[in-house]
Amino acid sequence: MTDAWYSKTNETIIPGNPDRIKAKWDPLQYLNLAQYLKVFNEYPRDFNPRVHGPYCPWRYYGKRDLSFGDVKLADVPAWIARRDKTPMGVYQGGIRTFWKFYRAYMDNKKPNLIWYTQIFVVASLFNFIFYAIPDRKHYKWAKYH
Amino acid sequence: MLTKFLRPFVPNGVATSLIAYRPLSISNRFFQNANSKSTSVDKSSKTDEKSLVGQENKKEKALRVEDSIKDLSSIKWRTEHNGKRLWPHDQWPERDLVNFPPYKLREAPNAVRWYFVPESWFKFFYDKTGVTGPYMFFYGLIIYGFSKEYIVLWYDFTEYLILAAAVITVVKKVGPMVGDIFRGWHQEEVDRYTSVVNNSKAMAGKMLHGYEESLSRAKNVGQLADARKDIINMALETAYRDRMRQMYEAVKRRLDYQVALQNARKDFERTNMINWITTEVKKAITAKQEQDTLQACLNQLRQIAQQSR
Repeated sequence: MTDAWYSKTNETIIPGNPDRIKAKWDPLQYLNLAQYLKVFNEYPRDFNPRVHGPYCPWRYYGKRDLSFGDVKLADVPAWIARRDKTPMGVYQGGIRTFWKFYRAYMDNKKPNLIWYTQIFVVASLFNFIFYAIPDRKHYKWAKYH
Repeated sequence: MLTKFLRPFVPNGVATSLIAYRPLSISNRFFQNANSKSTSVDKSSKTDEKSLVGQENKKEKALRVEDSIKDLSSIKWRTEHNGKRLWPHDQWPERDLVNFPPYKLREAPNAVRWYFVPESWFKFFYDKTGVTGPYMFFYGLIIYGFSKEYIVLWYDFTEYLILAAAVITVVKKVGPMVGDIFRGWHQEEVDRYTSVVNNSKAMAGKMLHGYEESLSRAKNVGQLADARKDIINMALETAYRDRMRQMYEAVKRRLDYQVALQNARKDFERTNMINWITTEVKKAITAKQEQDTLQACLNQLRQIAQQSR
């Protein structure tokens, strides 16, 4: 009954049903932006599903290396030299950081608003350091500290 | 919607083209009959003859999900790896489960102090600065800000202090309650999905319990029948013994009658004989015989008296 131009039944829409009317789940999918984002939408080179299983975006699949907390101060330049500093590497590191944050604070059975608080604090610090302090320099009580 | 109700009335042999229904799942693939297949094949052959060259290439361009569902032979399974036989359920012997364990949903978020400092930072600085390291760091930052006048003590500072105190109080008092309320709403929505399966499991369990009870009852029916049989047998034996007793008593009554009859006869004869004999003897005793017997008895008594002295 509801197979009208404005409404379809679930059987006609469900992707994977081979006899369905060709319809996408979300209107934005008709823009097909994935074709332009192919560069960003690929797995890392070192990912092998036979060995690593399903893809976890928060994991680094390259050669195992020390984390920044375990590296000694003398080896820090060598450690930085070993990092992948290409734009793709930087982008992947950023994506991994985001997914680590997501998994630490949002991907659990008892989420709370700590993630919001942390973002709020960092944004407040940024605003304080770069905008509030210059605005308040006029109201300082002393010139030299 | 109308076709939804016509579906159960469509047998497998009917040409599907007559009824326009949308199949629900890929299982409908297995109910396609020869007629529709032949018609579809004829149509495709006609179009191929008339089609241009480019259309054939388009059909073979990319395998879609629908194609793999139609033709399951396109799935390739490995049968051997490093000399060992691989089974369909065990196709990934190189999987490293130690370094890359499977995904597990975490129970709780990372612990945090002061609502924004992660515990891992405290653990990291414990070896170098002890327990108070990060605390001193942040207090030192604040004091540095006051001392260098990055935090200017102007007249709005009081507002910020009171705002901080108020926010912290409200969050400490109201936060857990709000979290529980939201979690409850979310859990209700999740239960709407999971309760279906859980209720089906419970129903199945209840029905199985009922089936088990009826099976035990069926087993006990045999015992009931045996009990009834025993009762009836006992009643039969009771009746048999009762009748046996009746027979015995009847026979005994008759025999006792005969015995009593004979005893009575004998008794009568004896008493009659005794009475007749005694009366006759008493009649026959004369006076002379009486005197003679008396004398004899006296003589005997004198002899006994003489002997006993």
